[in-house]
Amino acid sequence: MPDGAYLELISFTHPESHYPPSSPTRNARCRQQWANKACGWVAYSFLGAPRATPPLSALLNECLTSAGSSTRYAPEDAGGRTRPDGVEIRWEITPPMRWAEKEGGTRLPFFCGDVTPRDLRVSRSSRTSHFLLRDAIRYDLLMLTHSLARLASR
Amino acid sequence: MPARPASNTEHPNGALSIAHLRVLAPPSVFAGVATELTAIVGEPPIEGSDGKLVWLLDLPGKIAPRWHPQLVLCEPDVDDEDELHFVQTHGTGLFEIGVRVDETRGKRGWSDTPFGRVAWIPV
Repeated sequence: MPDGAYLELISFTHPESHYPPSSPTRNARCRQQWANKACGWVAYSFLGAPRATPPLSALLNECLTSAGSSTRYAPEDAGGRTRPDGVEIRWEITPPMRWAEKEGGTRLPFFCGDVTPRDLRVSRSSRTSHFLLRDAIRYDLLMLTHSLARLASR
Repeated sequence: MPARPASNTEHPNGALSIAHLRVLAPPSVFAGVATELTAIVGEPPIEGSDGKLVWLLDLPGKIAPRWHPQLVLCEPDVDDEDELHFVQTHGTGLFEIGVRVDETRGKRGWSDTPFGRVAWIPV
């Protein structure tokens, strides 16, 4: 969108039944991180901080502990892909511990921070700030959806 | 999804920005989720009433965004079957996103799809 936020629409190419039982491709399809989710909003994200020291997960957990909550964020998880033009982009995810459960994936945001320049992934200025990191990172919004093709076509 | 060229972010429905994310929480866990979100956002909600809290968010690359997206936590409306069904099925979670749209496009209200609700906020 013009404000830099974006929606990500996710749809599997084939249902699980498309792949031979017990095959590597079937297992990979079943293990995919969104495979256990119902159709609909599956996650939303704030902008992360891959260079934070201590890691963002530790900072968040400290805040949650201070607030008396037992909820925790998991350690950072690296991700990335190569664009069609050959440029490699990398990012880092900071997910809530319960993010992968079938229900509750949208109870709390996950964080996604760019390791490579953000302009390579979302081409606009990225100077931002975050309350935990003093003028380093500001919130971003990302919403992941599952099979929202009908909505997108409206 | 590069934002340039500008045509990448121009939408036929007039969408301009995210207005809000509305998370529903059953009354039994509302206070706990509010505590968690306050800790994670790092600031108390700017608006609070029985069963509804609102936090302001920022956007990347915008020192002073024209519109701050809002994170809204609320209990389900007892008169809204869809909201009640959502919390019964999913528990706490993201139920609706609000999208600011160019008011000249005539979109308002909300759209329910088989997969989620989108509220249209004309500006």
